Amino acid sequence: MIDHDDPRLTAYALGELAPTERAAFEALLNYDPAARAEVEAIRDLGAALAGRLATVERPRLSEVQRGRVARAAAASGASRSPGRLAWVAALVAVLGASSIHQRFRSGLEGAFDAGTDEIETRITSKIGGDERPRERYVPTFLTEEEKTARLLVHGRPDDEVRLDHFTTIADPRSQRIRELLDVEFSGESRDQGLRRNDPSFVRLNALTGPPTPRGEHARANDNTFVPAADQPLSTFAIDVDTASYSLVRRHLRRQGALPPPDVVRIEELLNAFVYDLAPPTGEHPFAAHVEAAGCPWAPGRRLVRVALKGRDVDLDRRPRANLVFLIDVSGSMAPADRLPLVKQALALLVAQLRPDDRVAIVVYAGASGLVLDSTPLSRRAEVLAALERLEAGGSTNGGAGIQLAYDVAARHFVEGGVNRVVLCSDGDWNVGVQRPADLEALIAEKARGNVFLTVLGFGMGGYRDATLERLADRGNGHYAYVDTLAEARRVLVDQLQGTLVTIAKDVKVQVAFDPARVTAWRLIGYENRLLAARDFDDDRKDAGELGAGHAVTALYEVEPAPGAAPGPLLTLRLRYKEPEGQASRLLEAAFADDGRAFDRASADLRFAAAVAAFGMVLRESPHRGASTLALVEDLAGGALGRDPHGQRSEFLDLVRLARRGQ
Amino acid sequence: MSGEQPWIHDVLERWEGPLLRYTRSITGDLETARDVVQDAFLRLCAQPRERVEARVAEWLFTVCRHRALDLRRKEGRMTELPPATLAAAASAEPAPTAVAEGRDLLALVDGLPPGQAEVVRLRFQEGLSYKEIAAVTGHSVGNVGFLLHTALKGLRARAQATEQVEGCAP
Repeated sequence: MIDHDDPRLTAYALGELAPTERAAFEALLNYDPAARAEVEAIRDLGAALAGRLATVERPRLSEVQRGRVARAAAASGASRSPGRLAWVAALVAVLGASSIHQRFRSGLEGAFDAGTDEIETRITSKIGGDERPRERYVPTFLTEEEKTARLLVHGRPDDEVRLDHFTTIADPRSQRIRELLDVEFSGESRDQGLRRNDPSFVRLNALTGPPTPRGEHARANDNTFVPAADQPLSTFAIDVDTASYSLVRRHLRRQGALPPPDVVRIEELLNAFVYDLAPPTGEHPFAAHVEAAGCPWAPGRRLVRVALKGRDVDLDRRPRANLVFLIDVSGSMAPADRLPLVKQALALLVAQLRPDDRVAIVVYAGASGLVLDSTPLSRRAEVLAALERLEAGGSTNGGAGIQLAYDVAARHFVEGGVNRVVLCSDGDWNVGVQRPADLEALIAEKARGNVFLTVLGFGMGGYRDATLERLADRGNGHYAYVDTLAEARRVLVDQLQGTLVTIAKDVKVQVAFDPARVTAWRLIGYENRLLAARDFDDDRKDAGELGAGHAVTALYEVEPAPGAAPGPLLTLRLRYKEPEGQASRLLEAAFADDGRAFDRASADLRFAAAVAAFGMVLRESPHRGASTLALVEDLAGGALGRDPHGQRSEFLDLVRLARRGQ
Repeated sequence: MSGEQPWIHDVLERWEGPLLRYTRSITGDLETARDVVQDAFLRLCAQPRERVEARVAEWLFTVCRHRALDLRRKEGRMTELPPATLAAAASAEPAPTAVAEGRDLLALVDGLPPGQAEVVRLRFQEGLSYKEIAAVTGHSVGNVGFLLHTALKGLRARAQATEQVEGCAP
């Protein structure tokens, strides 16, 4: 039976399903007359809609406007060279210029998405008697003269428009932009062109162009095989990031294309999944598990899985948390270093919360809304799904959103607990209905009632926004700027863990292979987490933190020594410090390989193997051996296990998407 | 150099009306929509043809949408298109005017949550594909499918509801 809420019904009726999906769906429809009737009804309605909507008048541009386009089209044929400049300029009026940067950018995101990279000039003028700045757009491919003319055409006799000088916004990325600016607006032509409009005063700010993609995923070459005779020790710091998986997913889903190899970090793919690991029972804060089996992409080799599972902190260890995420989803939050980063950062946080903690999600933009009412983390998947669904595309109204967030926090107030609103924004409060003073008073009052505010700034190009900072001050909270996921980890894992809990810090892993039984070994992933063997015992060397309940998985590919029988294979050593501790503690355990075949391995190992093979294929790793997407699909399909959160079937879908995109 | 670029003229002929119609649904008034659409075409002129031609409708709608939203935001009209999640959660109830106007599909579309109304217009009025709509609105393709499906379901329910009200009249 096809659920009538299944969007595929509409997609099918409108011919929007991909051929393979279409065939599969048709097979279902064959057995479902009700769904077939539904498809017919959708088609009828679609036809009726198209008919009715077609009757709406199709307006035209004015003759003057059409003439302008025609002239620009003609001129562009003669003088445009493709993609000559990638910067943006803005003419900013005397009034209302303060947040033009953000507003301006938010308005342009789409244009850049669509692949434009031209210059644009914006003129804001204050219209006499009307306090509202009026804005006009002047494409800067026009000559200075044309721009001036355009300004005058759109100006009004009583406009207060003055022309001044050009300034560039200091931005490390804008060196080239400044150079271009100098060329474009150097010398007298600029001054003369603009002075013609005296008594005008306009400041032109050259803003940076399309935000350069932040993902500078410096490609670390894959770890290679190391001869155990020379170097039996493998040492690395744990890593619980999962960002790479989100990126891979985004590429496959949004762009329908394979992600660039550089964004694929296998350890982050591995750690994006929940495994069925027993928590520790002894004195140490985490348990270690080791398992070995045949390697599915390299016959004769062994695949060794090392997994750590952090203790779930007992209820006495910290007060319950009642968090409300207040998230800016206005249009300006669309770039990768804003809302997408907010989502990743908060997912990191959510991953650390206990089942009895609560999280609510309030968004604000054109309208404020409760996306997720306060939800216990026993329903973590719902929280993560709600986060994942957030999309940018509205305007900002911080005031009302904050009131709503506090209301939700108050409704679920935990006596003696962690009650906190976590605000994530790029500081674009351009349409706040509330005066800043009112807002601050509200926040200060709530802080007295023990609901605190943490403010996380995103994507502001590095400058601190006074409003956000002041708000955090008032709210007994702190303000942090998050520009990368690493920073998000520092803030949300290391610092916010001051209220939540880190169970171990500076966790290091060292695997000592037995050279008598191992010819060579290769650590799959963790390329940027490698430590020198001597760093293992050096407590001054930082490593990774493990939060309550966290798990870490690492895979080794091992070439057994010729003729080596199953038996002792390696010794696992782990070092960690207590959260408040200075000296490290050591755990050590020997592991013997029982020689089991891949098919006999646990579902977790088999699934992890599928994930690693996926990563190797996407990275075009020279070590991928017999790995193909088909193999990955096979391996994953056979290792779904219980899959309580549907994570593994989602992975399987991604693999299928990747096969189509290949 | 060749003075004319007939391709832009053809594009103008083809898309001027649809773009204005769509942009006006955001800005609320035709004059602002004209400014926005004019600027989109001026910007188009600055694009290397080979880079945009294949998906020129997508490009134009995207530019117009963002510009129109930006303008509307600045004008302080706080009726911004909410994100899809909000739109879906928002009103399941038809706007009173939509009910009053009976089964006129146009009124029913106007009564949809803005996010849904937008994808309905882009699809059924302007004939854009899911993929194009996704590119224009910034929703994922899956989300476009969801919004459209929900919108059509809502429209049918409302059309039926008004039918029943009429049918019940003695």
